[in-house]
Amino acid sequence: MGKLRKHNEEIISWEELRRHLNKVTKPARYTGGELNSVRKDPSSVSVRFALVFPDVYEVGMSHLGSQIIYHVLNSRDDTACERAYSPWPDMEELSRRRGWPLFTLESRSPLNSFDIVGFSLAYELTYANVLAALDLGGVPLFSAERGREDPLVIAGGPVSMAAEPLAEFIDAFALGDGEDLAGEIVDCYKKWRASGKPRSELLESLADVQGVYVPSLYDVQYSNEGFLVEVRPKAGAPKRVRRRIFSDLEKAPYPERPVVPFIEPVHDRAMVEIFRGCTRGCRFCQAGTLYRPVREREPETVSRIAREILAASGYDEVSLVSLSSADYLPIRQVIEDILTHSPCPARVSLPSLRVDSFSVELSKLLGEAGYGGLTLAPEAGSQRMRDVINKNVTEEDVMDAAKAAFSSGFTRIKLYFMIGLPGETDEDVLAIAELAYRIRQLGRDMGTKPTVAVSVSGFVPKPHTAFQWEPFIGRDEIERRQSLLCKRLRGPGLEFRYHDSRQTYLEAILSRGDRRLGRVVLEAYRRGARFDSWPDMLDLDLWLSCMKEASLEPGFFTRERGQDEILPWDHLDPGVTKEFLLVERAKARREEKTPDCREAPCPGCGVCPRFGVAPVLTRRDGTSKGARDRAR
Amino acid sequence: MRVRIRYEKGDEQRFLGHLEVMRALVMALARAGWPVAMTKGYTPRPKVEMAAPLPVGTAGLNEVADVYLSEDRSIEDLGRSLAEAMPPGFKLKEVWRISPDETALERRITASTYSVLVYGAEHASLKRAVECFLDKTEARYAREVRGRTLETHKWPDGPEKSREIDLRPFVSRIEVVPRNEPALSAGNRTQPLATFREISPPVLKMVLRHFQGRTVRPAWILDFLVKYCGLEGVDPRESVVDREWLDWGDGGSHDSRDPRK
Repeated sequence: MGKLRKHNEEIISWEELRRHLNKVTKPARYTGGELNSVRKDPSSVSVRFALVFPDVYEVGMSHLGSQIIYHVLNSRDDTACERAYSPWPDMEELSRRRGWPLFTLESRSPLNSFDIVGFSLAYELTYANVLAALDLGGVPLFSAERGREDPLVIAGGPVSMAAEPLAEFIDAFALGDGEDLAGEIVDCYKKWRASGKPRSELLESLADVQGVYVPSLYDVQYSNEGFLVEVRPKAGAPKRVRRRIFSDLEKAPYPERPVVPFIEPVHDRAMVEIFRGCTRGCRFCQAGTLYRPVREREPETVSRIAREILAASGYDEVSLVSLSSADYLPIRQVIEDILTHSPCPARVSLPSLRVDSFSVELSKLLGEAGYGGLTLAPEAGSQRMRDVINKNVTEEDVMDAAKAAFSSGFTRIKLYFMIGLPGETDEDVLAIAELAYRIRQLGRDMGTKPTVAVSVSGFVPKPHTAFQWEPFIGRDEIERRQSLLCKRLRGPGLEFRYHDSRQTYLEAILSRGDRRLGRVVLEAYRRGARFDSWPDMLDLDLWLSCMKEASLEPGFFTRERGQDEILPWDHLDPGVTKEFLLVERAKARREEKTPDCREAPCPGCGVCPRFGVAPVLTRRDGTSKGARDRAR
Repeated sequence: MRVRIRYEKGDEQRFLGHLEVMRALVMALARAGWPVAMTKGYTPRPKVEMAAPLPVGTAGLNEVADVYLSEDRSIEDLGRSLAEAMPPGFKLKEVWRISPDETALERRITASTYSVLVYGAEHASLKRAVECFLDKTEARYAREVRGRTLETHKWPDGPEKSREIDLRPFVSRIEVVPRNEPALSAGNRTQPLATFREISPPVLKMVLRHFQGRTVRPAWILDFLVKYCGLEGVDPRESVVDREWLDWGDGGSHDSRDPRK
């Protein structure tokens, strides 16, 4: 059977576009043509895939996951993957006025001309942008309204593990690592199209692919009070959908020729993922659950990829990314190797420093001392709170790191903290200020003129973490704790910054929400909610009034959950067991730590035995494959 | 070693701003492996000097930039490696060595030649507006951005500072010519919307002077024609501007490269 006829094969002419684009800010966001972007002849492929990042171009282009999927799909001869990003409101307005649909950068085709539209979900506050993209792209918003001619709409990325508010709009979620999964979805689509069967068959066959969650195959029932009573799979869909894990990163495809944006992206550097997953087990951290187990790349592979990317892009900086890059034992060796063997003069940077003197040494090695700034994330001010969240950092570690920083020539130390953590008291909050004072004093004693910049964000208890049952403490309470600190953190050598509590609040509602919030997202989109992740753009009152009209109480979603309650994301299996999370929650209440599974015996989170995987670790000197420590 | 390059910022990448073009060039030089010298100071940057920045939306057929190298290389090797490394939408046209103590490019440029597609205008009315402009001895213009006058310009023979600028002395030549599509070699990359019909708009050619690095934009001239010379039906933002050539004075080595000659 041949290709399906699409509604709209027309593309926007360049003449039309270039005549009008001068009316919008940063028009180059919409013109593409970047180095290493892939433009295939649509007639030469059988599946056209539009990869949509629901935020502005500069943010989307900094997203490594999207670059990986773009590379994976375009490596297939039968598939063309093109990109689209959310248009800024001025562009959306111009598009509507000119009758332009949301189009991809590569061929300027509207979204609804594609076979598959895939969203990359990195943040809950992009939900309204997802609906805007579908609507502007001419794709029916509701999964149930889509017919045989419409694209298959899928979504991946970490948020997919608990994106129930989008359940009615997304045909299928791809859970976990996309390296294999993306291609399997394309294969499944091709097979269905050749069969000529109805769309429902496509969704059912997708549900057979491990890692694909088809929300429409689950009937959800609520009690009168709004509690989830049952999530029942139908048509043979699995009771729980397991996240996919790509077990050996050494074999993973990697975008060694990444698309290089002309416009400066948010993170303007080459990225090499040195490992996936994290062993530290911080109890607040969702990524800590969703990317288990740790899988490291060999140091030679990291260096080789770094060299190739630098040569193919012309970047002058390569970032060795992971959830905790200083944990990578051969890190020093890799940095030195890249610095000495890179094809052009390049710097190396680490996105996430550990709070210890070793990390400070590393950043000195990276030549960052000259710039004056060092960022550390103790996450909590008091030792008690750090034990509660299992951030295995002692006061001594913090002071050692600060000492090492000042003696290496850093004068500015930026500290990241959270407030609103479970069991937090005012003393714990004020301990943040105390710590800042001590560091400032240390800097002064060491003869520098230090600046301690404290940055505080409100804690949202996230799904799939040990704190998923905990309540969000509320917007007013976040603000009260902010003001406690605000009063203390004034004076010379101190800076205080905090996140917008409105965003934290909306994030708490959306990330912990169930399917009933879909109507709220839809209504908020219709009334103009866009780019809610941008503080200036968020209209919280609009969201709250949409909730009111849908007779939904925000407090229902931010409240503490009962341990025997069915949670909206319980049917999505991250590998880590609920029993383990409950044990961790109990330990948090006892202020008891759980050691890093790199060094200590297995704490039994469940991922490895249940999914048949194992941590892949490299030794400090680790050079040969034989040195890899696979069997734990 | 100081090297001058002539390149094209093509049709497809016309919406890049000056800094983005600079970034694209610097990254291309890195890919090409040119030993670019670094500036001194706290944050060393590759020593690349660009002349007469192009605004967002304007393509440039023959832009020039100077690159300083920390070691000598053969011009042939430099040209070959950079031509391969240029990003899509850009084209390297020429590379030649110049004396290290030659005057900065910016200071030497005397004029820019532009070709402007004027959408919404009829040939005759555009011609009348141009004649009206040429009859003026003074063309005072305040540039407006989103309804606000921002610019404080200095201009030759005028008061030191003003919100306004006299466009007239900058205009060395201005005329309406028949449309010569495709204006740029990059061309259209896709066929137009089936329903989309475009009546070929008239083309305005202009040569605008530079005084010590200062010049005016074609869009300002067009805006002036709309506001003060009776040009109707034209939204200056919709004009498509290409800079075809830069002149750098003294009848220097550039003359032989001017395609108009």
